[in-house]
Amino acid sequence: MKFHSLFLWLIISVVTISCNKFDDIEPAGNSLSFAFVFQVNGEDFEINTQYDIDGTAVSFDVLNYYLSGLYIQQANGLEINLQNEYLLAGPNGIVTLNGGVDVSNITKVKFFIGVDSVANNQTEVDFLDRPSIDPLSLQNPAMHWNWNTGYRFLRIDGNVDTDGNGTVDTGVAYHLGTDPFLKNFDFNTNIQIVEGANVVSFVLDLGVLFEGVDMSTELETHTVDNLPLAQRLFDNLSRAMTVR
Amino acid sequence: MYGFKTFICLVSWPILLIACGHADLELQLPAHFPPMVFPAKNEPTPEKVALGKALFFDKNLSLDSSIACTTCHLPELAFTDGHVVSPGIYGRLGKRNTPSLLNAGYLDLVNKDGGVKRLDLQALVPIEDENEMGISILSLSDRLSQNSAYQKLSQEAYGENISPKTISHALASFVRTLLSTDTPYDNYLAGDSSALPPSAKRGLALFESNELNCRACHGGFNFTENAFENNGLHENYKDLGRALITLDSLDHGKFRVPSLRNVTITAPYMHDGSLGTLEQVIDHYEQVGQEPRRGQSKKIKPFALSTQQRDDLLAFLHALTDNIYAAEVP
Repeated sequence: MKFHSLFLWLIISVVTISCNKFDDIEPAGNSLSFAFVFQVNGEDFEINTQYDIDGTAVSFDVLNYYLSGLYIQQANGLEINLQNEYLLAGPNGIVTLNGGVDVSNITKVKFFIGVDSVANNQTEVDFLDRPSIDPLSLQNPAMHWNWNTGYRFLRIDGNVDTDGNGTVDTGVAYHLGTDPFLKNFDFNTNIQIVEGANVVSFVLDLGVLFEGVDMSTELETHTVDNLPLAQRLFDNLSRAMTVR
Repeated sequence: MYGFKTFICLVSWPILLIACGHADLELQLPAHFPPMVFPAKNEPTPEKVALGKALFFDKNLSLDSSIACTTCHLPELAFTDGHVVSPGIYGRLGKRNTPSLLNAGYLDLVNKDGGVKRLDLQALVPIEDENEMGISILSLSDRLSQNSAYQKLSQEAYGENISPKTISHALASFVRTLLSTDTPYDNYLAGDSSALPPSAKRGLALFESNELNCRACHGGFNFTENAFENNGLHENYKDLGRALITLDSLDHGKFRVPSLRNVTITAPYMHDGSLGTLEQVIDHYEQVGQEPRRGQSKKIKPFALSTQQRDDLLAFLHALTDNIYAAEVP
């Protein structure tokens, strides 16, 4: 059985409950939910809370990314294919598929971090045309780039301590995007879904994402203006993202 | 000053309003101009242009209500501002020299690096740039939605309340009506052989000669093919230009070739405003034609001009000034 993406678009609802900790994720009854979880070196994450990443004090106030092309295969052969749908992941979001989606044993998960080139290039529909419910419409904080047609695939803003006095008072901005940075994830996995808790969690560990990055000096990339840093973050993303 | 008069002339005489109401708007263009192609989703109408015009001159489009579009795009300077780079909110400086908006409706890729693929999306760039107007388009829309006059104009133009889309689309509609079509050169092409003085005619011959090869980049009715070229301005570019969009190192230092229309009154020149006079521009091409810089366009040929030839070339460039500005041209 395949779910048609249009149908799923109609039944997707975004529930903005806090889900920064696994314990906070509440099952949504007879439905499948996708939770977006952030961690720092395996520890629970809170927005605007100070962490130490490789010796630099840092806090984050914006953490958003696009997840698209989601495909889930189950042991019983059932497939969920959200090929043309886009989920905007943030630290306060969980996306739920209502309508009695039954998931028990997931064997494969595929998705992209980012937006495919057709949507990204605004060739057919641009972000001004899209209804506000559409994750690809204008967002606050902005996920669109104005000077370069397209979207930030991953946007992380925050503050760091650059002088070692313990105060996070210097802004940082790490914005990854552009077509070459569409990141493909393909997990062959074995996720047993506990009955009554139909939640698949996408976990992004910021400690892993910023490995090898000196956040006290490497303060920003908007991808094209600091390609080396963007490339390192892009490479780290493969290890920083897990599905549970 | 004649700024507002100039503006009225520029945006009124080239436009033939077919009828009242929601009729399409037709631009009156010389025979040697191609028709302007309008986007199907945003065919210009007088109502859309009216909304765009109101927005263009409104400082409330900036975060601190200090900067309007026209702050940097002055009608009397062919919609440029004379600055090397324009000051934005709180005196912050932009990164590139302000381009003219005249004939911008013909662009398929917008901005000096071609990063914006449609004029209908371009207004977001200055509105949201922290060095220019510095306000998110969503916040601006919320702000303007409190203004009943804008709500009325938006309803008349698009049948919906003011929104990021109506703001951006209306500004694009207005910009499409800003035309440079009435220069001595255009009159000369239309059959008035007296429109160009002898020196300008000699300059035209030089401009179109294979020796100078100007037309290789500044071709067509608008004196640009809208291609992206490295003109050898710098050996190493701080601003990577087109490469910022394509991520291709071969595009380092490439910027859109600008139109030469009204070039006499749109100093300073180059993407960074680093050359102050047309004489300096000619000197630059004479120099890099003979000693090319890394990555420089092969279209730039070596040449050397006599004093007379230089004066003739400048006379021709003066003849690319719209007649509305002619009285002010030195």
